[in-house]
Amino acid sequence: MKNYILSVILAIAALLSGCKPEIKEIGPEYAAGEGIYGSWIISKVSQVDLNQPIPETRDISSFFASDESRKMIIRFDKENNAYSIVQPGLLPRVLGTGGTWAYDVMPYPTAISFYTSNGDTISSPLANMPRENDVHFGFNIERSDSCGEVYLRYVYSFNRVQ
Amino acid sequence: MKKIALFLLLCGTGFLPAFGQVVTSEPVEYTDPAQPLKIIVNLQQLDQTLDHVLNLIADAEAGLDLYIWTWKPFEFPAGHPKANGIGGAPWKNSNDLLKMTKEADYIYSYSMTPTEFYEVDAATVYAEDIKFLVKPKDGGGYGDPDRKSTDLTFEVNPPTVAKPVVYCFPTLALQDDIFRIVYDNDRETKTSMQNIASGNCFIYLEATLTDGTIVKPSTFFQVGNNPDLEMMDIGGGSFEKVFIPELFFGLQPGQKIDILKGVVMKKVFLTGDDRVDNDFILDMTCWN
Repeated sequence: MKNYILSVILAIAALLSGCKPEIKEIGPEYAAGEGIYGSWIISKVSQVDLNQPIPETRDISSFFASDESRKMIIRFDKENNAYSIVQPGLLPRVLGTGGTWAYDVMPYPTAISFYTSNGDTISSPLANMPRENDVHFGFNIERSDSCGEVYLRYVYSFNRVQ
Repeated sequence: MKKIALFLLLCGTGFLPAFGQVVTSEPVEYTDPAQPLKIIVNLQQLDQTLDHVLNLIADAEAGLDLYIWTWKPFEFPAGHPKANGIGGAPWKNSNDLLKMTKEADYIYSYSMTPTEFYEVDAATVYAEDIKFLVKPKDGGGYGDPDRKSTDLTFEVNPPTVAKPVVYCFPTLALQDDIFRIVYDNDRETKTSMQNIASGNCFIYLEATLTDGTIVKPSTFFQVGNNPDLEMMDIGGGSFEKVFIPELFFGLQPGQKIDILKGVVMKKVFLTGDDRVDNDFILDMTCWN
């Protein structure tokens, strides 16, 4: 009887040890900001009304949800640090149709600058530093009126286009 | 005649608001603590039954400089460059940074931008207001008679946050921004427009361009036949129309909107009972 119990215990132990996951070597960390390359589609947009003493925020995502053609798609290329607006959607065309881009500081960027093909420079604080395995990305764009006052902030959130 | 001349003089010098109240300001209506403010104090409006007030007025009449001594929305600690007083007996040695400007006899002012001066955000200023008193450099004390005003408060309140029945978001926009007009039917006071049903709320929209051209998707009486002019029921008794003005009005490059007008109405417009009383008007001067 004792031998039988011992055999059962040994068999269970052998089974358990067989299920032990094999630990693979952990590779290098994904670098901050390196995951920006590729295409991104807008997933959420908020407006922050800076014209009010206490700024008010409203989610305007529902404006896009009903129609994919209303969503902006932006593509970042590694070559020449170019970006292009694949689909402008229904958002202010502040980024033009394309241009070049650059992070402010490396290796931990906090803002991205867009240099549009028509000569404008737009500096946008980043919501995150996208890594290669990130599927979400975002940045803010502030708008000034012709009187020079910053009156509105757009908070853009994107999903990676697979 | 002298009174008229005095009145005109006061109007001209801008000190009329200082009469009747101890504390006034320029601008008179002050709601944004991030903007410059001049706080004006009229010593003659202080309670002159108090000895320390009479001492203060006597010091002013003697030509002594006056200072503010402030503790809200924030009081800087001893040793800080903006501390109220200097040294071991600060009450007897006001900080020169806080010296007031003599605007006229008995009328003194101090200019600042509250969020910068107190190094706090606007919400703190709204919550705490500005509390201060006026004193000469040596405010007495330590066995000497006090020389100071009563505690004074300058209230800073945000602008009226109550929105009209028809309002927009954002409050300012360029013509390529996403823009929404909201109709808060729950707060409608016009009986004939109350409890409007989903699908029965429309808006007449009209853009006056800078060249004087008027662009409108439908005439006033055809609004209900244009689905693009329906206001969507967003719940809570509210309806909204979201659009990008330059796309909505089909503007060509170079065309700029000067005035945007909207009138909320029922799908079928027969009489004035079928529309809100007030037009929505947005001056888009800074859009151009």
